Amino acid sequence: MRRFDLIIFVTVIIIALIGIIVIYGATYPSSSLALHKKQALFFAFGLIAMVAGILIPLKVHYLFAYYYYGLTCLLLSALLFQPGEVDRWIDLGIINFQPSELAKLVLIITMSRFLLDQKKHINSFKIILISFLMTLVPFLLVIKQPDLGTGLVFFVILIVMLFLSGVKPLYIFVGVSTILSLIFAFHWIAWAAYFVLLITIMVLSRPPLKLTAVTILGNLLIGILTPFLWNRLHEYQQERILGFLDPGRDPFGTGYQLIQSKIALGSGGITGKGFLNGTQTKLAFLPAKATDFIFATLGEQFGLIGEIVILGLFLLLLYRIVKIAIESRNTFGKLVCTGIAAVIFVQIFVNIGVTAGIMPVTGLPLPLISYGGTSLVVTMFMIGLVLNVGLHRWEY
Amino acid sequence: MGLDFKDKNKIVLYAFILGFVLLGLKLFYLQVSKYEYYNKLSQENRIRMVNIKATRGEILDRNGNPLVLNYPTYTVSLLPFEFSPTEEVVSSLAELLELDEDYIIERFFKYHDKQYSPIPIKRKVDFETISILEENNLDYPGVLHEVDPIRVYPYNKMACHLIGYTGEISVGELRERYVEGLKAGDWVGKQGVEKHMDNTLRGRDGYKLLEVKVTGEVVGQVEGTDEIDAQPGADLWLTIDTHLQMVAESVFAHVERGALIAMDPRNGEILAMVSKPDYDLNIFSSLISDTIWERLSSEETHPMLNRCVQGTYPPASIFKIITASAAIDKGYITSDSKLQPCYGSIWYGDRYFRCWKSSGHFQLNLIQAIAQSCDIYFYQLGLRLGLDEWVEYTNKCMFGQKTGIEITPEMSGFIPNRDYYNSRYGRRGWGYGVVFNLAIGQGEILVTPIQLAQFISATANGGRIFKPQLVKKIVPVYDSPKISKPLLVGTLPFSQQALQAVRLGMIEAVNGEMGTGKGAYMEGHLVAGKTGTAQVPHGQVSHALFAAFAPAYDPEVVVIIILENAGSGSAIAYLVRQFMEYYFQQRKIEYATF
Repeated sequence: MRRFDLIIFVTVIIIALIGIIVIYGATYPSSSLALHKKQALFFAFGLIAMVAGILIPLKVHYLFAYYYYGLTCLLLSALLFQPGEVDRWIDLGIINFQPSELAKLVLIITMSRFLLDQKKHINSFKIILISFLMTLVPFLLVIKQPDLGTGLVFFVILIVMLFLSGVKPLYIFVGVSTILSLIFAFHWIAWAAYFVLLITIMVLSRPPLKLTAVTILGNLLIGILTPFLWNRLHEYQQERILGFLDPGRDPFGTGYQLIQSKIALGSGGITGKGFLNGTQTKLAFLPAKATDFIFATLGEQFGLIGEIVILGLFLLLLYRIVKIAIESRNTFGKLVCTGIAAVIFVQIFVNIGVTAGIMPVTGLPLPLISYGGTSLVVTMFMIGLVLNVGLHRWEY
Repeated sequence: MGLDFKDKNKIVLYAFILGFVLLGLKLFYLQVSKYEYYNKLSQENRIRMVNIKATRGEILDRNGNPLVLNYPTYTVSLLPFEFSPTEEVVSSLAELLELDEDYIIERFFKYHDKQYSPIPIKRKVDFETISILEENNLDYPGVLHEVDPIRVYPYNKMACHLIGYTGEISVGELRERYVEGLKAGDWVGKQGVEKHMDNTLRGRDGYKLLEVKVTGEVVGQVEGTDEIDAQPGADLWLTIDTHLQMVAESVFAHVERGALIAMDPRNGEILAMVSKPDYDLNIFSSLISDTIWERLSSEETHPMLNRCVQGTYPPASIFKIITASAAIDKGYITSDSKLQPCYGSIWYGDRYFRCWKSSGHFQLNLIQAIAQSCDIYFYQLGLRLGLDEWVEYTNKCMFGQKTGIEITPEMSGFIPNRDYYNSRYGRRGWGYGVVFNLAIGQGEILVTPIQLAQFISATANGGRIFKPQLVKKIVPVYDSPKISKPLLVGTLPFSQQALQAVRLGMIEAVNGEMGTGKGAYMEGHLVAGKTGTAQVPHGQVSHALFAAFAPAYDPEVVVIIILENAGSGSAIAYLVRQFMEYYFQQRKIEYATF
């Protein structure tokens, strides 16, 4: 059993338990909802999932990867045909199941298999295009819900997986550049600076001339067309798009929550106001205070010290996962591990970033801490997978 | 290639660490550098989101004469986050504002889930009441008031349908338009130009975040937040001429149910538009518009209906213009052609088709047939054209589709075709006789007065179909005005000879001895016109229609008049004359002043 990574196991349990406590604090005194009790139940399920992750041979996931993928896409599209408004839950009676959480893991597994199989021509345009399309399908399905945050996580998975499996960083940069160009195109100075940078990078890295030409022309086209098309939209259409990208623009809804979240964090100070003493938490924003804005209630009660403890635990967890990825001899296992680490990291970064007001509101959970059964169970299953890879790290 | 798997993983790990450091720095800034500020906010003060109302644009006529103005009043609202509906507060508030207690509670619970968005409970509150609220603001926590202009209509009923009224956004509209930044309690256009141009008129509210002490005293703006200014809505200049609108209203003073449209055939501008019965727009300026609306819309005469764009009628003999032009265009006849004489009725298939004049018109040419509106003549033309050709011409004249005038809602009318008859009566269940009826504008066919105005304008101006326009100019506060240009949407599918023949027929109808529209004759200006008498089911009195333009050879005004259940078109010709007389008289005055 010396190969079993006890540190990961213990860290995960500690973080999840802290999560249950924070959920209790977030909903206190109106704890009639008993969210913390439900979360404790989910945690029990999570432990089972983790054991399952450890026991099921990795080979099985490799073999069934494409079936997982198809099934997940079906589940995601089932959401669109549910009666009533589109949202991200499938109602299973007592428990609500959120397929987009599952989709994160499934995309990692599918990508790992696909890129591993195609290792020989990994830098061909065709392979990169196919992996892009494989990401695009679930992306389009979740942004319909609308859940832009999860959709972006899918693309982070794509980028990390491509990078790890040996696609030249330049190619990835070329792909990302179109989106960068779209963002910078809203101000001509920003765009001009970006464009100069782009040309510099392209010239320095000396790719084939054709690629350089296509990239620069493509970026130029986007840079010129975007402001033009944007201005042709009606004001209310622009408002619709901006509201979709950044719900914090609605000053009477999410925007106000943001302000409250900053006050909660800021007033927590270094040491915090103490457990169950958060004034903002008690007064203000339900229901997101147990889910998307849970970090604010944590910060208010336990202060900067509490936050650093949590961030430290997370960093330890991520480090141990990456360590297993490096040590493992099984390439599929390596890819899956780093992919999992990346997904956990992105969710942490975006969730806390939103709470602290450095990112648009996207509604991603804080892994292992935010209230939500699907997220907790899937995350713990992911950890189980990592431990599994760790157990067999010397096997090919 | 340089990087092996270990290196890449290290790069990923460094990226993680960099991200955590970034987060840590921001958290340090919030919790250490800004600690005192946020701590004070969380302990002593509350934050209030204050909405800054954008002024809705005003509506003026073509000469800058105001039709809709804003008048400053106060609106009292509840802020759900701070207001708690205790019996004591609610009852004293109800007494002060002269409202029903239940009403306040009902409003509160209808919208209270948006915690920071004020719920208006009374508009048009006077300054005295506001000062009482202000003095006793400790007794009324969470009760806010703000300056909130209401709509005022200096001419009361005048042009009420085309202007349309405004009202508080409904729950359904809110769900639909939430993404446009609208919120509970917002005031939006509900009908007419107010609705159609709502996004232009409304402007955009601004807001600011205020720090408020527990006592209700405002400390100031929250640090690090910007005040977003309200953007006032743009003013609208309509194509309506107030004087002419008044003339039209006075011509229609004794009309119970009907529609009148005056349009400039040279560019499609609407000069006047009346729909009867009407209502006073000023009654919609308060919060209780829902009940007024219910009362008005449940009335049997439908005063809320804008008959000019929503009313659908059989066009009756006015459609003989299409039948005649199509027959000339196809080369079946010329303006001199004589067909079988009219003896009051004609036998076709298994029944008689009657002319409105049972004693018969005898032998007529096309011009006379238009002037005397002989049904027998047009039955024969309809038979030659056939159903499909007739439908094709009618569709090309843009009937059966909305004109796109800046009034919401608009109806599109109905033009039956072969498929319709097949599905309605079965493939063999209908005879060719339907085309007889259609040729004289009767049967299943329905058109709106605005479609007729568009069509008659095109007939008058030589075939150019202009989109009817109601908005002349959009004048934003911080931008240069946008002036709307005439919009050519098509041409009539008829030759100039056909249009000329129709023109002669219409001149004859008003100026000839035997013309059906003789009553519209006036001295000094040559009027051309066509009457219509639309049969209605259930033995009711027919609708009377009249379409006219003048001067006949250089048309500058088209008039469409429809009176429901008023008998024959001939009987209302005098209204056209009255309107034309006023029109030319006023034009003379205008020319004299320049």
